[in-house]
Amino acid sequence: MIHLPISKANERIFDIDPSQAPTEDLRDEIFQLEKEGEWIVQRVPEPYMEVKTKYGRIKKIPVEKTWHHKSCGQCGHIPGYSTSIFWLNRQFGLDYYDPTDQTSCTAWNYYASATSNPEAQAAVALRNFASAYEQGYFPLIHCGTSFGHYKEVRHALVHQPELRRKVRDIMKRLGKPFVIPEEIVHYSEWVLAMRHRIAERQVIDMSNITATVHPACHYHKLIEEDAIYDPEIYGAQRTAIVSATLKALGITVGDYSSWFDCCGFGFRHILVSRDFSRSFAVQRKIEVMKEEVNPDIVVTHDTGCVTTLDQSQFAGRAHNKKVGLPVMSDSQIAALAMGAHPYKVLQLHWHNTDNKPFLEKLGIDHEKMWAEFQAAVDKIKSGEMEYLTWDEADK
Amino acid sequence: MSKNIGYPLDLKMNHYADVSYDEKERLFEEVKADERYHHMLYGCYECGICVASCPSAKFYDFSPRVIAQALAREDVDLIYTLMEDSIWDCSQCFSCDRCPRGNSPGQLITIMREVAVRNGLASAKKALEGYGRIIYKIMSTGSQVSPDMLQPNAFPDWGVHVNEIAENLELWRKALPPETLHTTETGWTVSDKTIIELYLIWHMTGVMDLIEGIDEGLFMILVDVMEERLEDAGYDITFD
Amino acid sequence: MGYAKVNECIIPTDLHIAVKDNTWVRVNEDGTVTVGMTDVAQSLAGPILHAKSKSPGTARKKGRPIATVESGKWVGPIKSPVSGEIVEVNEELAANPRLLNTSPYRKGWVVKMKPDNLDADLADLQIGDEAVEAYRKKIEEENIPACSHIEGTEDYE
Repeated sequence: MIHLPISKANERIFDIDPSQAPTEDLRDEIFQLEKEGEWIVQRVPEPYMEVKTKYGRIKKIPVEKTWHHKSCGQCGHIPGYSTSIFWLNRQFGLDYYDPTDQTSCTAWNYYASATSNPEAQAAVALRNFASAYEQGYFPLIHCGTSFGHYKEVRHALVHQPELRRKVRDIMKRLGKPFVIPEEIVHYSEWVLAMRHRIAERQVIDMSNITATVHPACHYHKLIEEDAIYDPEIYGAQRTAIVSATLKALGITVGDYSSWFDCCGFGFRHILVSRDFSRSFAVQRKIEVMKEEVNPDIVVTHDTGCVTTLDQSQFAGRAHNKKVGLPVMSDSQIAALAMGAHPYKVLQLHWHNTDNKPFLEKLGIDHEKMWAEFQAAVDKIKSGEMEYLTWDEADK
Repeated sequence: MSKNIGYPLDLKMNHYADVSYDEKERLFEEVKADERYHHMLYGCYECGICVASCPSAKFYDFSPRVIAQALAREDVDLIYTLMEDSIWDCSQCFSCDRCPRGNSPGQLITIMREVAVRNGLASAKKALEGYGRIIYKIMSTGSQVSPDMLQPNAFPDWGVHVNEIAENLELWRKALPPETLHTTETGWTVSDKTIIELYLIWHMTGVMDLIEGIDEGLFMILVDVMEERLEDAGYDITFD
Repeated sequence: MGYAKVNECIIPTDLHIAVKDNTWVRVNEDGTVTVGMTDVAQSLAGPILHAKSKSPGTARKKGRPIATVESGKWVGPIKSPVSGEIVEVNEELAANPRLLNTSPYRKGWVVKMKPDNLDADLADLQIGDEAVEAYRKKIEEENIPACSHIEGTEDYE
């Protein structure tokens, strides 16, 4: 009979030791391939911030000189999401670049329809990276799907020499450098790394707010070692992303039993098998959150997740489901905390589930804010203003 | 032709008896020959952890475990049935990557789907019915969903709010501070040079052949748009 | 305009029809032809959201796309039933693509073309009773559901 020492659960310390990591550090191989002349590795510009990932490795997060790899779904349907990311950068006076020489990562289509192949996907990725490199800025990925997909592409390129050769050839024929960034960085990692600086400039008190966090599957389940973990957040048993940011803003993060569940986006499903997406989002996520936490706001950090969780609630209501939780991204919450305009910057009018009670709880006069936005819209309508500028958005 | 009308999934041995074993084997070998395959499958001991975490398993008669098992055992008949009737239920979330063996049923399904598309399987075509517009958008503009796709009849279950957006679209798009977002037909402003490079990538990687196998009409209009644009940019390229 | 009704689908008897591609041709007095899509086509597509024609001056061989049409669930070509050059485009369709549904044979005309080889091309099309029969056969063989018509469809009676 084996006697194991009995320890109290709350006395156990989960120490992450990078030397005990079950997988290799891909970056070692990436740099090795550079030494062998296979490609150029774009370094994270200094100064950079350091965070720890799942197995205790350090990940570098650039502060500025970032090339903003935009998200189709954000820019197309929830543009306040992208706007809030840029706004945060501007507030800190950071040098960033918003490219027109950028294509979609095309991963949504790939996961939905498989009407592509590894060469095309990798070529699309590296074309975007080359564009960033040529511009002298470091890629910052806005979408969770893009982020997950680019991690996979990177993994494939490191381990499949034939694929690497094909893509290098394509880049050559396009007249573009064959370059891979040192890190694949998601914007929410930047927000997390900047959270204390954001909190320093917080003007809206959020200490009366309870939130539930939904972590994007493609952020922490795909190539899981590259996600941020922190012993102070969930004892490093779950990814710290978004939760750490909200805590820094004084928000209470409530736990719920379906935390690990996907939102139900499904890539293809949200477009053509929609009963799945909206059923899953409502029954496995929103209803559970409402029942167990009843949060003021649901916060996530990916395009598909915001879309699915926000939009599915309309159909849920029609079926008398217990829904009605507003959904926003961490960047929108962070921007709001710093005083960003809910309509000119957060562009909340593109969201579906009613977020006015949330704004009211924060003491924000949304009617006044909406009138301000409408006044700006009227100026555009009359031709007095061509577009809503950044300056106008901060008035 | 997919025989699965819904629920439950029919895994009987004689389910697709009308398709020759050789054909089924050929398709399996194509899946197995994919360079990524051996990074995704290390044998399955049927623990079911993947099924427990799978959202599609909760909604459809779908099991990532069955998929991993079928491939690990190289059960050609079962694999074919799954390719016809099961693989499109996967929501590609990769929750199944938590497999203690290091398998990825989700990734294996990605390969199976690519093979299904490449071979023009009827079930692949059926699965992508109604998806044509998205492919058209992403292939021709490099943007998956555009603002002008926010129409009530495209997203009827998103409610009346979509009507409001559709009515105010142009104005609201101009009321966006980022300069690249004043678009309606694409998510953001994409430069001409970028589009050309994208078309060249499609051409060099043979993606258009896949589209042709799925939807001839879609292929035709895409090729039409691309060839014209490439010609204007000085490239003499055809996709046929 | 004379027409027949098969399975609720309106098939004109005095236009040349390319049954396979669901398009029609009207020969104009000045030697040009007007081209559009049939009632079956609009029913299969559903309410049209976008219609984009090729520009005037574009030469098109028979079978090549002269316009791209998008509905909520479908995107596809209108294939030219004749070879020729596009000389005029129905400007109304850009603003009001529903004309393709409500009036596919009149207000929803797509392009006017100057045909290269009209007689030869027309020989491949059907007209009158032949067209109606060919369409009846196609509807049966392909299990095409009864044609649906959206609100505002012109009165064919």
